[in-house]
Amino acid sequence: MNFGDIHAAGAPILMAVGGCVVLLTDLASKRSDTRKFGTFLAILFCIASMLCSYTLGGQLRTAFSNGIAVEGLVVTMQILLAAIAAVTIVASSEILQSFHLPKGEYRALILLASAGAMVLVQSLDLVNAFVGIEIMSVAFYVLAGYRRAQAASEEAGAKYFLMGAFVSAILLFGIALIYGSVGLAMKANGLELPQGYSFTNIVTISKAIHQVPGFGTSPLFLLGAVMLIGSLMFKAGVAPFHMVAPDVYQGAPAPIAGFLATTSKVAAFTILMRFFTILAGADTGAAINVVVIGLALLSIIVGNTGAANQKSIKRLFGYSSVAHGGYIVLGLLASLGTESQAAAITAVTFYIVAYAITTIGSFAVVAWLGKDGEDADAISAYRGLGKRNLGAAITLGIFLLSLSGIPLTVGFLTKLGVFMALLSAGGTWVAVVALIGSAIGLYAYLRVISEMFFVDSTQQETSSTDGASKLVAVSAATLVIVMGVFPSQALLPSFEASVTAPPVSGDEVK
Amino acid sequence: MTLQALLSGQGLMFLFFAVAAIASGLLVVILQNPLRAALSLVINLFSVAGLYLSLNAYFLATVQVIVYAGAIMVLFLFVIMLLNMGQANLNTSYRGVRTIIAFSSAIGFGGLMSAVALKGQPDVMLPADAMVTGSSAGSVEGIGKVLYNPNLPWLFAFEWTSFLLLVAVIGAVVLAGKRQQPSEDKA
Amino acid sequence: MNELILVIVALPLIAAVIASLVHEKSAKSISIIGSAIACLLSILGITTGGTIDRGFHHVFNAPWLPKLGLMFSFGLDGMSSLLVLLTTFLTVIAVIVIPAPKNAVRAYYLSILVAGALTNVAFASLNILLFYIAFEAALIPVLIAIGMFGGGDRSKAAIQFFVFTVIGSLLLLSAIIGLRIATGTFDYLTLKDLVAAGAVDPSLLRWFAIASFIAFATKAAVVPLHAWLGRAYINTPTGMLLLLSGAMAKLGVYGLIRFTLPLGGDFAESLVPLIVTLGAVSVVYGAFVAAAQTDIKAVIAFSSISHMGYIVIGAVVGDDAARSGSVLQMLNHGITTGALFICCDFISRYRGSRQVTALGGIWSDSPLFSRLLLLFTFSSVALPLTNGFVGEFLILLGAFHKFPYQTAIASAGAIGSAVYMLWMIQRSIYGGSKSDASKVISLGVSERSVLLALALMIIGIGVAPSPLLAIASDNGHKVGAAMQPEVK
Repeated sequence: MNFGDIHAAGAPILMAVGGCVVLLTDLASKRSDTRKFGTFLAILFCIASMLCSYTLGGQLRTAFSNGIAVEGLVVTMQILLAAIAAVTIVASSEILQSFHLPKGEYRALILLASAGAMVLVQSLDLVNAFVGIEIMSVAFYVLAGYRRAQAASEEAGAKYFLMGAFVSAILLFGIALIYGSVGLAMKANGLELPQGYSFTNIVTISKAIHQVPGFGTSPLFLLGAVMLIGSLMFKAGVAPFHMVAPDVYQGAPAPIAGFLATTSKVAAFTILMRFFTILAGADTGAAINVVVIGLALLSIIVGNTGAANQKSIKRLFGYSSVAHGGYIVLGLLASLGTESQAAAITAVTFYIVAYAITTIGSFAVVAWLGKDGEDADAISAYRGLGKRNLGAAITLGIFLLSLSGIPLTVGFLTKLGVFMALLSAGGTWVAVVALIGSAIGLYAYLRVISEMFFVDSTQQETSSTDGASKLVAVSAATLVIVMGVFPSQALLPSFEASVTAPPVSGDEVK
Repeated sequence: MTLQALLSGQGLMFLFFAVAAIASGLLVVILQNPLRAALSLVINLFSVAGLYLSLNAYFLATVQVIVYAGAIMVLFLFVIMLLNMGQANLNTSYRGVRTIIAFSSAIGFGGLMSAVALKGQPDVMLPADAMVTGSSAGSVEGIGKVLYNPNLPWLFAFEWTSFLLLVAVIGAVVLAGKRQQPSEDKA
Repeated sequence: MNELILVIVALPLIAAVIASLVHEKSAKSISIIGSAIACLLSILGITTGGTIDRGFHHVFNAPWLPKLGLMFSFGLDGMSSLLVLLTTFLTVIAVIVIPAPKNAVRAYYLSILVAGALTNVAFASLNILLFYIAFEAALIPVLIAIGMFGGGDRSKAAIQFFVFTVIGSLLLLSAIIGLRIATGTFDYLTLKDLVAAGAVDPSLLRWFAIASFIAFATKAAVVPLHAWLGRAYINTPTGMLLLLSGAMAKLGVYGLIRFTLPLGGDFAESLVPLIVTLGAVSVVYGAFVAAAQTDIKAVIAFSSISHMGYIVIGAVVGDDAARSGSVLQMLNHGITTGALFICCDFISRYRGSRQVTALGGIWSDSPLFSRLLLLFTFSSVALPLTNGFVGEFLILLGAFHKFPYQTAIASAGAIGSAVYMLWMIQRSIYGGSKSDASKVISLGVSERSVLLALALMIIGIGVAPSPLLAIASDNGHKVGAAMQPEVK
């Protein structure tokens, strides 16, 4: 271990330290001054974390005895995660104020959840991934139930906790099975475990898959892999593990819902992407393909049909997040093919970034239109919004069009990228089912647009005071359009080059 | 795993503790009386400790008994007694679609696991092969040397575990703390 | 001069942006200026000029997202330049003649100008992904216009219209991506050469033919994919309806000529009998449904299905005269239907009703208006010496010797529709007035001049169609056909 190791792991460390500092300053100062200062401090640490990630550059480096690996993909995701945390903290000042919730703990939890997500994103060893996912999840359970005075929020937290704990056990079981199967296979075939690597290291697993004949189809490994994939899909809110997602998003205050929906997806899909890159080109039989296709299509159908008949806009976004999880899984599916892998990774990364921006923005609008910190949740509350608050209506309209994938928004390019990767991987009929799902989703989003612009209402003008959420929503909407028209200029310059470089392959181990 | 291997001392020990762990685990779920369920959990934790012991992991077994079976379960029982739930039956009925789904998925999962274990027969290790070996194996010293060695991958995870505990503590404080009164910081 | 099409597209957009920033009173004049200059410039587009590449002139190329294969590639041939001209022209008259709704003047002009500009991008694009983007993005302003300024059933009409057309275009998208993966390009001219050389997998071409046919047939409202049309047309505000029925529906036929047939390979050829039959069914169906309406706007809307059926037949039969006639008829339909919708708008504005039963007496109240309306109706039913006659005659001529039965059915349907149209107009303008004399249709200067200009065009094209036909015959289906002086 040296400075390089610390630097590589620096982004989550800074977030975690930030969490502690924010918590302690909150204790030390009088309650009323901490609002601005705590926010400022938390954002400072987020920026420091982003800078730390950025200075790592795009090349691959491993640290902590190959426990973690950082390369372009991880850097991008870490920056994104820190940005999401910062934006969430900015957007939540209103609800903290209105409901007199403990502020220091809130900011600390956001930062720590983000740190956990970063650990997950950068880990190369599944044990580290598990620790990361637990840090993130435990913070999520608390955040979902943060507004204890409200029954819905408490219910969301409890549900999330019970399901999440159960899934964590399955994840751990899956990792244990993989550990066992890799160890057995390597021992039986006389392969040496390289110094510093463990049997749960993705590189070791890759070695076993590519060098031990028949390992990819051994039942022990497949069962472990399917449990691992399934539980990570739960964390990302993919059907059929989605039951809890709409409840949680509806129960939690809007900024937290946006945070949960995006951070969990970014983290879980990134580690899945890593896991899938080592499966690419390996003979794993049909099992994993079938599971992944099934999950993706189920999510797209369930998410879009579920969204079509909602009365609550937060539930609508909950189902929409399920559907979009499905599209991302389709991209992951394409990354299982060796030829379409590079395109698939770029497409999925871009999709995740775009989805995060759109979702954060949508939930920010919900908070922006709320009154006294209470979210504007009922879709009927949006009736005639175009006449009362044109800016908010246009902003939300942009997000809805982007979510339905209409050209000139970023949602179109993401869908285009995923479908291009998918079709070049040969998944024609999968793409057709996904397109049908999109059409159903389109109806769901159009219903809201129609309520906002096409239906007259007698509702009075709502005077909103939540300036922070407004700022977040409007800047996200601008990004959605700019990225939809000029994606190459809007992203980090190194984005495409670094992301398309394959992350880690079995060849690393000689 | 051949029958012969199972009938060795090690094998019998494994068999005993494994059956005990599964049976007591099932009882935790099935029993209606909370007190009995909690006591079954104690047996379950003890059985797992026994499994650790059979793998030479003395320290882990001891910690399991002291911390889980001892401290945490005592707290559990305490709460049950305090709330006077000892006599109350949990309101669970084993009827309806949910129960059928639950049981069939449990059986399905158990079947899947057994199928995997049986199909992968030549691969599956004897308990004896999985034993931790070496002079300080299974002791506090041995675990410490593995956990804190910067050349092994566990240090990173170990350090982050402390943050996991921190998050849990913050969460517990937030969720269990006094509900703030609206008038408190109106300023 | 290669940037011509850029200017034509950009001018209305700039005008729209300025109009949405300035005061409501000047919004209209700014919109008129922007779209009128664009309209004049698009006359230039008809003439050959600029870089010429494989039959297209004014070819322009600039990268947008080169990594995705998305380029700003534009080029015009006879067909597309005529359609661009039609779109800009309809934009201008829509802005001039139809007053904006009082509460949202700027949003209204914005939606019309943007819709027109995006439609032009689609017509002029030589990159299929760019075409697709414009094709679909143009729906958004229409959606907004229907939903915000439309008739009573607007919310349902808007959603139905949008969902229907987007489902069709999603299929098209999947086929386009398939082509890109197989060939590595979205460039239309390259793709056309590759397909012609047989370098693309036929099963992929088959999928492209099916998917693009569904997308374009939905757009052109070919039976049985017409279900969105009735509710949408009736509820669309007239200004946007001019563009929707006059220009955007033509995107469907244009797509069939430009993309489905050349890029669909042999399978597209084998689809032709089916398409022709569907076209004939559309003609008859449109006539029947129109006959059952009492709302003038609905009659014109459903008769539009009939006319589009004709145009589709002409577009696909594979006969040069029919195809030229079809292109010309697109132009004619845009002018005639536009004129009829404008008249319908006047009637409902001044008389307060569009129901045939509630009208009457217009002939004596508003003589000039009535005579013009009658002329437009003649053109719509394709009386000789009007523009409609030339187009329909050429289509029939070309189609008859290839598909006699379908053509016969279509002509019979057209005759039925003509009878009904004339009867409806007769009932609504002759007879005694059923409403107050104060509701006389008095046309302003600009309104009068627009209607007169439309009438002049109708007669002009009807009497001397050859120059336009020469341009229309340059539709990419004959090598080296650019700017033939005369059509046999």
